[in-house]
Amino acid sequence: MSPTDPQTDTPLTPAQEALLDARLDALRHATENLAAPPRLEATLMAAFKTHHAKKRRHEFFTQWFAPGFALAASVGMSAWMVLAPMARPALDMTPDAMSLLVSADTPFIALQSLEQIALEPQPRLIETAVPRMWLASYGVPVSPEVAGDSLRAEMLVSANGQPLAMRFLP
Amino acid sequence: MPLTDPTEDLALLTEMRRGNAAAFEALYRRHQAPLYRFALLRCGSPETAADVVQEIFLALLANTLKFDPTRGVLQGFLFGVARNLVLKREEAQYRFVSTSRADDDDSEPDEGLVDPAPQPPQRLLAQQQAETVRQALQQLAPHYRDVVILYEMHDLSYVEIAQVCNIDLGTVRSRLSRGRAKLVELLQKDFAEEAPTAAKSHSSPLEARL
Repeated sequence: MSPTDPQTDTPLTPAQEALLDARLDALRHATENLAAPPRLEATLMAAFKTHHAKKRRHEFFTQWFAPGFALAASVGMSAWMVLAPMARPALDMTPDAMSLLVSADTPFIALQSLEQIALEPQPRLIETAVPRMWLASYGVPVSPEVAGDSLRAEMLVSANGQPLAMRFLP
Repeated sequence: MPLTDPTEDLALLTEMRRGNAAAFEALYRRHQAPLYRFALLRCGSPETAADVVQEIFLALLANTLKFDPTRGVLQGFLFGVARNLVLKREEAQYRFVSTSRADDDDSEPDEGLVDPAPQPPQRLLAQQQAETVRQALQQLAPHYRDVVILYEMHDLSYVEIAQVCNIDLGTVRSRLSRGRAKLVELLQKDFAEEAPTAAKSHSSPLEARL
C-alpha cells in the first residue's frame, strides 16, 4: 500500500518517490551503526545492581525479620503495659511512689505513662470498687450474669485524684 | 515488522524482573540502538537521545512502565515511551504550539505546525547526502517526523505506528503522505539536480510495504 492518501493529497511522482527513497536509503546506511554511547550500558548495569541489591535486602528483611520484629514489639509492648511501672525503678520515681509500687503483691496496670507516674509528687494508694465490666476492657472474659457486680481494686492516684495505675484484688 | 522476537523480549523482561542482570543486559543490547536512532532523528541531539535511552531503561528497571504484552510488542511500546519522552522535553524547551489540533484533524494546513523555535542545524552525520536528509527531517512538523522516521527508518507497519503514536490508521497514512511530500519539498533543490537521471532507473519500493 502506498503511503499516499489519494483523497487528500497529490501523490508523489515516480521520480520524486525514487529520489526520496534514494535519499532515505543514504540516511539508513549512515545511521545503521549508530548506537547509544558505551558508557550508558555501564551506567545502567551499575543501576541494575544497586536496584536489585536494595530489592533483595528489602525482601530478605520482609521475609525473615519483619514478622519476628512485629512479634517482639507486640510482646514488649504488652509486657511494658503490665509490668513496666513496677519493673523500672531506675527511672526517677519519687520514693513514695516507688515504695507503693514495689510493695504490691500483684502487678498494677498503668493508666498513665510511666514518666507521668514517676513525676507525681504525692501519689496515694486507695482501695475502691469497680464494675466487673472493667475486666472486659483488659481482655478478661466477663459473664453477662455478673457483669453488673463490683470488684475490689486498688488504685494509685495523684494528689488531685487522677488515676495513675490500678490492680484488681481477689 | 518487529526487529526483535517479541517472545524472547517477554522472557528477558520476566528474567530481568527476577534480578537477572544478563537478561537486562540482553534487553538493553537488543533495543538501545533503534531507540537511540529514533530519538536522535526525532530530536537532533545526541545528548538528548542518550538521555532518552537511559530514562527508558531506568524506568524499565524500576518497573514504572506499564507494559501490557496483550496490547502490543515490547519494541513498539518502547518506541512509544521514547516518543513521549522526546515530546516532554520539546514541550519544556520550546513551549510548543500544541500539536493536538493536527492530531485531531489532519485536514488542517500543516505550514504552521513546524517547530516554532528550531535550533540551528548541528551536523551529526559525516555523509553529506544523509546529513541533508536528516536536517530536512528535522524541519518536518514533529507529528509528521514521528511517522516518517518510524516507517522509513525502522520499518514499522501502519498498525505499529498507530500504536506507538496513539493515532488511527487513516491518520498514520495521511501523516506519512504529507510528511513525505513535505520532505520532498524540503529536498527540492537536490531533486532538481538529480531527478532526470534517477527517474529512469527507479520505481517505488514503497508500494510493496504494509
